[in-house]
Amino acid sequence: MRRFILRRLVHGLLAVLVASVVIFGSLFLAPGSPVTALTAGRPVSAHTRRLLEAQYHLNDPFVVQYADWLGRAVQGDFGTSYVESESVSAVMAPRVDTTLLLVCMCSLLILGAGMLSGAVAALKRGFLGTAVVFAEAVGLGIPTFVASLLLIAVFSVQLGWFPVYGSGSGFLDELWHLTLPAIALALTSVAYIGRLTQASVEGELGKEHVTTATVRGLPRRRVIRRHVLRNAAIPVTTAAGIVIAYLVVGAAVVETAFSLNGLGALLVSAISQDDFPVIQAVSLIAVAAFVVIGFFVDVICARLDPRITLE
Amino acid sequence: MAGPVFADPRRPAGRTTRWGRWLAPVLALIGASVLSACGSVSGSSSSSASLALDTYTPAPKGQLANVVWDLPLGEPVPLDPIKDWNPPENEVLAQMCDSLFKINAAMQIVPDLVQSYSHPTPLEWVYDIRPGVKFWDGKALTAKDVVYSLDRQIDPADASVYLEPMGVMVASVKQTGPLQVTLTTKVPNGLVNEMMATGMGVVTEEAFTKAAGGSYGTAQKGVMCSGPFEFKSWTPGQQLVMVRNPHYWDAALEPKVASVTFKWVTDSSTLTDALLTGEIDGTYEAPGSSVSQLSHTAEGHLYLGPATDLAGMVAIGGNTSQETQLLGALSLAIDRPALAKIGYSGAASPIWSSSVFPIKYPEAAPVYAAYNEELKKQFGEHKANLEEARRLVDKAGKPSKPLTMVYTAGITTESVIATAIVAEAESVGIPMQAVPLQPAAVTNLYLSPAARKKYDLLLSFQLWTDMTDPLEAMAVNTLPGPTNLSQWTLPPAALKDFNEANAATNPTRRAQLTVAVDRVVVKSDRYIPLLYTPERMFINKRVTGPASSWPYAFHYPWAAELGASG
Amino acid sequence: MSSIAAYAGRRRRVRLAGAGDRVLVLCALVLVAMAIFVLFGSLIAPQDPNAVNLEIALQGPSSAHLFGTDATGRDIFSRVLAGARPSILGPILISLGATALGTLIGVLAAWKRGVSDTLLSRGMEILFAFPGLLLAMMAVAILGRGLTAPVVALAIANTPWVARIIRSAALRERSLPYVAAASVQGFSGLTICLRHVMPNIARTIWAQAALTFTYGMTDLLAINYLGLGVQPPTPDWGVLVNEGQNSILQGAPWETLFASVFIVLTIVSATVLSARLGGDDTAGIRA
Repeated sequence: MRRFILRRLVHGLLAVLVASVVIFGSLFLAPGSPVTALTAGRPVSAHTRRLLEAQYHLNDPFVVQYADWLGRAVQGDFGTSYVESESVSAVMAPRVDTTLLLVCMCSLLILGAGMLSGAVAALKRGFLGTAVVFAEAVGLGIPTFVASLLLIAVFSVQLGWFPVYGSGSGFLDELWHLTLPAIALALTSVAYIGRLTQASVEGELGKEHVTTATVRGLPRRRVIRRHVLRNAAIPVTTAAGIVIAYLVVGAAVVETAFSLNGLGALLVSAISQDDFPVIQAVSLIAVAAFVVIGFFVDVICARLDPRITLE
Repeated sequence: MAGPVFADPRRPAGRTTRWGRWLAPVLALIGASVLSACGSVSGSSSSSASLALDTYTPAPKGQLANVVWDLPLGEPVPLDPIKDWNPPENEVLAQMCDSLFKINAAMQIVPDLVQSYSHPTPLEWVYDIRPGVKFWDGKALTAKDVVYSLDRQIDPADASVYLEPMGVMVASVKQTGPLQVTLTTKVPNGLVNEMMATGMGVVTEEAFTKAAGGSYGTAQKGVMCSGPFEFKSWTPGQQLVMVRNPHYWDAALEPKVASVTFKWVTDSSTLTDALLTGEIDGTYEAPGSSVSQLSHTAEGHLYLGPATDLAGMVAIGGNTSQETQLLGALSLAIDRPALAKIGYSGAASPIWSSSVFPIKYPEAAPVYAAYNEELKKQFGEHKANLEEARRLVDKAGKPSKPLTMVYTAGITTESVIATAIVAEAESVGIPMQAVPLQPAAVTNLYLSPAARKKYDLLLSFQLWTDMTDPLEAMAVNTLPGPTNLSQWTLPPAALKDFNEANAATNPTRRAQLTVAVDRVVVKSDRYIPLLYTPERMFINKRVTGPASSWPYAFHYPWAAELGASG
Repeated sequence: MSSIAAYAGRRRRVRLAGAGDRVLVLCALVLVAMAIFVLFGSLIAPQDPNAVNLEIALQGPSSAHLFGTDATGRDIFSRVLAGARPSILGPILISLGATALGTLIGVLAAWKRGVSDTLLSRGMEILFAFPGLLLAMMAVAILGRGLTAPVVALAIANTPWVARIIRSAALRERSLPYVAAASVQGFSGLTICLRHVMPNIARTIWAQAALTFTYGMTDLLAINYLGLGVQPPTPDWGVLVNEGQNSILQGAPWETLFASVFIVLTIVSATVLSARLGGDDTAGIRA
């Protein structure tokens, strides 16, 4: 088990490293000079241009710039934003907890509602099961931004149950503000995880060891819990992990629709303004989040089914 | 004195241009007369024909704990008077910081920190500072702070946004008494007080500002001034909070609101939703595309106030005769009343000249009124003059590639109007293409002649202008200089008339000459003016008080006038 | 994640909504209709999608304008039909690209095994870490706004998913006796691959293509909504939803509504189709 964990750790670090090269390198390729972004297109003297280039190390070779960036990034220093003239960390800091809270709420929704609806659809035949399946099909088809607009129009403007925009202040207020965004963001994933859970549970139900256990007279509840659900959980956990890891970027859409001050919205505005240090920092964080979540998912799955560690 | 009038663009979050705002003193001085004639406490009509405009809102009756106000153009940059140029930061700065002079709701220049002043020689201005003014930390405001603040504005090393063209006019600022400051200009200049009524005249505490250095005015360091509101907190990306200053020196302007929270929702739909649900109490520059929604809600009131704001197209590309003819046809093909309807739900009115508008001028009004009738006939009163347009297009011949028109992406009113213009152009045979650009790129067009060469037309929605003297606008648009975006200048005969008009003392003669020059400008088709757009202020039913007109964008402490409606 | 491959191959029968083939036929019809709109949308549209008429702006559905008019008086029905092409062509390209590349990589990895397999799998693993939306946004940052950058980026981002499924499907096929038999008989690896293995995993490939189409469409719509992709006045459905937002406030939700309906119909139909094609829900879903 320990070797498995170690192996996954090394793989994860390697993945992040390679991803960082891709992130840094690709933006390096972007046409146009960062100086243009720094000065917002205003004409500057050659002297000022040279000063800016020196300050941002724009003329060093690629490897040097990359090593410098990575070295400082590991310590939490992502450089200075071209647009805000503040450190990237300062720009990101107030936005991290909004996105974090949103992703957490969303994850709970996905895991809870998704797995529950899927299990219900698989275990209960008849009208309830069919209804859930149908709802899932529709839920899969509604893009996040459409869901956002719908929710705002109905629950915020018409009914007034939730605020229209913003992330609020104070923990409870933030929860209230982020409810609709979390629902909008989770919708597709809930349907997806639901579908997957249903398929997975149904598959387990048909297995030999389940039939055996039932024939031997074990109570159905116990069979479901111990034999069916536990095994069915593995692919679902894996998928849920991926879905949750992708939420950080997926949040960009709801953050834009609800005017939330989060990392996703920051990424979009940074792209609009060619603010490369910010783009690099947020992208790296998104990828790192994926790898970290993936690592934890692997460990959980290995606990559920130790055979995995043999691969 | 000529000023950059037609050239000032809308400036959304962050990226700035430097045109236009330094005209504030001129506007304030001259605008005062027309607006004070128009305004009255119960609201009145002025300016454009079919729009009923209010300068004032009803006076407040009580106190409020908090008001949430929006800055639709985005988050302010650091609140340092040498950096503050755009509406978002000026709107906030004026509430917290006193300056030597300020603007009141009637657009008049009134003394603020200055108690009295004299002008002993043509070059000297002696200001006696009001005694007893304290900064928020309790320290007294002295002449030293005034000299320090003004020095930062005129010292090239500080690179203040006001350095050019205002700061360079000042030779020196010296302390000539414990509460007296003498400002000396390089040449005689009649607008010094007007300059001091802008951000240039803001006084900050010397010790605090020095200690903060380059971070003065940022979210972390804050601000140290003496104004009616005190800086409380600033959460970047989220909100800025200011609280009432209980020791403000002007008891008449003591705020009736304990705190004001600024937000900066820029998206039209989101802002409208927030106003309709009461989550945001008020804003200036309410979205033009939501005018009908905001006018009919019980949640609050939409006020239309006088403003010096225009929408129009500027020809920034080449200057061939074919293009001129096509542009002339374009101007005839546009259905301006329809644009007002779809872009602003009617809260705008058509204009056909970039300098002379269908409003009431303080002087020689009949001359300008007759001219506007002439223009109305020429361009067609309610419908566009399509036959004439088509005739001109046939004469001009088809261009080799479509005319490109730039507008700012992301703003509903702009994209709707841009789409309509393109369609109207195509309907008379002018191939045209609308190009949405990001705000930063649009700003760049104002600054960089090289960037302008790539496009033919620029659609601009916040071209500020002087509503009282057409010559100012004409000077900016047509005389050579960096504010002339269209690369076209007055031909010699018209220039002669222009100079004569400038020097004329008889108002009627001046007006007649102005009109003669304007005919030439209109004929050049380098400016295709579209709409006059009044100020749109939305305010929640529980709040009232500030003026609903243009002064909010200048150094006017409107927040001190907020209060409960009932 | 290493645990994925182990579960990719299970076959499970899943009934969709109990209505079976009726639903499938319905979805197929919808997709055929969409295909017709893609090819002939501009031709069969009753009016010019760009014809502005300010007099009739923001009107509700009527006999002249089936879906009503937008803020500048353009016929929404015509715009939605004309919008089929930009809205669907991009996802089709993404699907083609990802499926072709993914199949190539998956089959190669399954066939060669050993070092090539490890290399390719590791490479795909790293690509997994980039959500499609992120790659698309980075591509826009580098290459600028428009359709090209997001489409290429999304095709690349979806490749590892296809590759992984195809790899395990190909692995399964490879281990079947007939492959060994053919190889003993002297057929070359390429022939066995093309003549026998590929046709047998064809259903899986088609299912992946359909699924990638839906993911590509969702992500591309998001990119357009964020203003990083197709720009107005192109009547892409995502752009229509965005443009119509303001009209909702003025009491005319038609533009956003009908564009959304078309989006949802297309995605749901393609999803159902992919599930049925795969015959097997879990293999069809990204797990």
